[in-house]
Amino acid sequence: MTVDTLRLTAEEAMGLVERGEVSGAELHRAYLDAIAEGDGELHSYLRTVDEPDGDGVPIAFKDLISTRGVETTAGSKILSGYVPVFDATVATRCKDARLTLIGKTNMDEFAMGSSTENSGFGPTRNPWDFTRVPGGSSGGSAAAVAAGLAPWALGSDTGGSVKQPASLCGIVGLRPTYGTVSRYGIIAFASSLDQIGPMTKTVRDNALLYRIVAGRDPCDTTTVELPEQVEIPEREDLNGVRVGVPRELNEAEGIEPGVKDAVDRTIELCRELGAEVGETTLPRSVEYGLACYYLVAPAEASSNLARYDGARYGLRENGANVREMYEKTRDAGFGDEPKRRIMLGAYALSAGYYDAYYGQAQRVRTVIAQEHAASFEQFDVLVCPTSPTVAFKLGEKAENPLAMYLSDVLTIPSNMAGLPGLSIPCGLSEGLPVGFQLIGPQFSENLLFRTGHALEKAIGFDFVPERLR
Amino acid sequence: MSWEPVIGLEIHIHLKTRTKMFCRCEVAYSEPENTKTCPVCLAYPGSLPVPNAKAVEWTIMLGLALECRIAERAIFHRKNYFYPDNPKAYQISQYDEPLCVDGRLVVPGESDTEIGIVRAHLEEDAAKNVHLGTAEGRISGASATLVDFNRAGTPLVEIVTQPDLRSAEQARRFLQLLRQTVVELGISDAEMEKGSLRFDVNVSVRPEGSDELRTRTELKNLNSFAFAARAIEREVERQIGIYESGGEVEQETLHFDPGTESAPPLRSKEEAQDYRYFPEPDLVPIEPPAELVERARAELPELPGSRIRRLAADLDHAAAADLVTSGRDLLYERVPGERRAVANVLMNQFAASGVDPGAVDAEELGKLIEARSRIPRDRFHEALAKSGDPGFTADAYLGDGLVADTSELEPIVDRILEANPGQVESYRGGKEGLLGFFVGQVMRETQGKADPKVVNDLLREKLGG
Repeated sequence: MTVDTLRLTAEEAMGLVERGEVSGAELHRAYLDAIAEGDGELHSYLRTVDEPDGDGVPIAFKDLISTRGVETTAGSKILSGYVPVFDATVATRCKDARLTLIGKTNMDEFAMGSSTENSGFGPTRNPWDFTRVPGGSSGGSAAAVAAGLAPWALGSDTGGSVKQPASLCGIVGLRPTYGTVSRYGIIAFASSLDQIGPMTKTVRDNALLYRIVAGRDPCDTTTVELPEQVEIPEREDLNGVRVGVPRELNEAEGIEPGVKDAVDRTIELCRELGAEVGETTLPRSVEYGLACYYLVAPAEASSNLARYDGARYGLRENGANVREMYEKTRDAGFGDEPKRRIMLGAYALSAGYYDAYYGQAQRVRTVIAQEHAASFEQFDVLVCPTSPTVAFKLGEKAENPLAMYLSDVLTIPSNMAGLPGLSIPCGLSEGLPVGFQLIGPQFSENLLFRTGHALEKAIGFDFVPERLR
Repeated sequence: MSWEPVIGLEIHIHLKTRTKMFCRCEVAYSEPENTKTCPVCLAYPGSLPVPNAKAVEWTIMLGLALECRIAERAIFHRKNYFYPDNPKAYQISQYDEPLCVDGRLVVPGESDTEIGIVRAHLEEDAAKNVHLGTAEGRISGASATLVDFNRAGTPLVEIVTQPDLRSAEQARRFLQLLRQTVVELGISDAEMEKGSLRFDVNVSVRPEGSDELRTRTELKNLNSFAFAARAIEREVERQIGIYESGGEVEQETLHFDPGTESAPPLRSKEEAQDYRYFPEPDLVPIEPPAELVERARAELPELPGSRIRRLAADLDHAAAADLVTSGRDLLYERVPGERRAVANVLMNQFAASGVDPGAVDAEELGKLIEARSRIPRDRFHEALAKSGDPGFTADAYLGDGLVADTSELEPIVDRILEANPGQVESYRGGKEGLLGFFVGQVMRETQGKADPKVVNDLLREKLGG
């Protein structure tokens, strides 16, 4: 049988394999063919895996997930040619679930960016409009899933890197509760924020993949056992769900009218599905979230990226002495954005500035968590746009880092609090997908899936980009 | 004016856990280079640290032995710096929330000396750099540097003292006592030759009676306690000399050459390095359960300090400390006999024999020591060397075992005198010192078995006649 990779959900693909209608190898081949045909200009993949390792449903990994024997670069030239000798825990879990790696997807270098334009290997385009960005940093994974070049994919989210590209590409993306998915083998950007998240066509697919990757890992001491099993959502109503609408996240400067309309319609839909909807407020989270993030994340990154020195792996530029080797290697290997953030971060951690910057940011983080917790005393989920805008043009913000940083203004506050967030497509604005963000308390993924699934059914969004139908 | 030295120590001790601090690689000292490594201790992208629970437990034990307060919540920090022996470009260490704080170690003496312990914290050791192309193995002028990561990630406890030490001798006593304490706790070999014990010394001086703290210098790479004591004395004198000639001591580090004690130290300015410490986000805080701390406290053995105090009742403190810090005090307590004599033999002739104190039959050794004035010196040493052998008895070396029978010894004495007519004549001519020569000859002939008293008597009789 022919496989319609554009429409096939991962759940359907699993059914085909289980029932013996299609073999894993045939599925793998079908996706390789689709990639060969459709990924040229799109450039969602950095490399593909020709021979499936197993006989199940294929999956794509963002290129910062270590895969034994398969080059892993984190989108950076400094890791060109680096082939891990071990699998990330999420890769092992996928293998154990019989998923086969189809390829490694493009990303902003070291996950620093919101458009995938910061990749050391060229940008990825948006399958809905090739003149636009897919978002980032997991833009490759989002574009691959949206374009039918992978049944599903894993991305990583530090400040919004799963939710925002999912929103811009019209797919479903989960940033899980911090500590529920292992970071072992994930090339680190900002350790206290990085989380691996599923990127899928449907909410049910998302729950299925989250079930595979989540859970405590003895190799990552920041992980915990899930307090409850992951449930694959069935219900299509929102009876009894209390939905909070944080004013600041829905009225933030820069939210496009088309985005606001689509989100407002979805909030109305929540009410129609039986939810109780009310307004809430997160003033300090929104006012300070972004600034706080741009102290914490670069500070941790400046330390995490210090190991790329040319001594043991990846790129090396020789020098007259070891210091010169470090400097030349790092100068040639890192792009502008990592360099910018390393400098910001090193400054924020330096003696005499630590308390005012990094220390203060961590204290504000506690305030942000408390403010969210207060909202969750009245509400079960909070909702707002995922991104203030639909997909923007390639190059539009590339020269203006501050404008780019604002892409994550709505995803960052809950990330700083370690909370889970789910982005689902809720409609189109000017022919481009709009993402609806659901934020819950820690470990509330089941409720996010339930809410997302009910809305998805009611919205009836067609995840296949119009130009590919 | 008279001057008072102000000395503080920073000691690093390798814990002898089976595996490294943050990964499961074996801790090894003499394996081929880079064979005990993994993605974690090589800092491969994405690898994460997992703390060694044993190392945490042992650091708590040491903290308790040093009368420290054990933190209810301790955290690891990252200490950031670039160097080839530091693969992550940060060392996981502890900063302002260490495991153990505010302790003390009392060095027993005529009056006890209390040395404050600022902190004892847990961290990981660096890899080992091997600099090629220079005789001294120093980095300057090296043609290449190779890195052996076997040592990278070995658990290391850093102990920082208050500047409470007032002499080189006190520093030496303190280090010996601390070393013995960790050895007895079973948490480290603490062998300087192996590198499992290292320390740096901070030295300054001040006018006697003042409580100011003047500029200090740091002495590094001291490779033995005795050498450290000499180096401290020299540095104290140097600083006094500077102040007395109207100068100012500069803050600097003196790097000694571990190879040669005689080489003058290399001097370097202390750079104000900014390590950009911040809490290690890959690790959760350590919160030692109260039960664990209390259990460890209850299980602490009697510590060397208190044994020195006990032994000093019969001996002086120096002798008691020597016995305890050499690990011979348990044997000392079991060997019967006059206390000072037993201590002397154990610390001198017995120590030189290299016999394991644990293997010795204390009763037999006591007998041997008691009879030592009646046994020829060589024979006594031989007996000590055998004192750890199974079935060793003192009797074999006492008078009973010696040939005292004149009828057996007389022919030998006659033969010796006949063979050395010249010496006989000299003796009779007044050179009575030659008696020893004749005794020696007889002892050699009898392989040391002749009773020296009988031989002496026989010789005097015959030579006098």
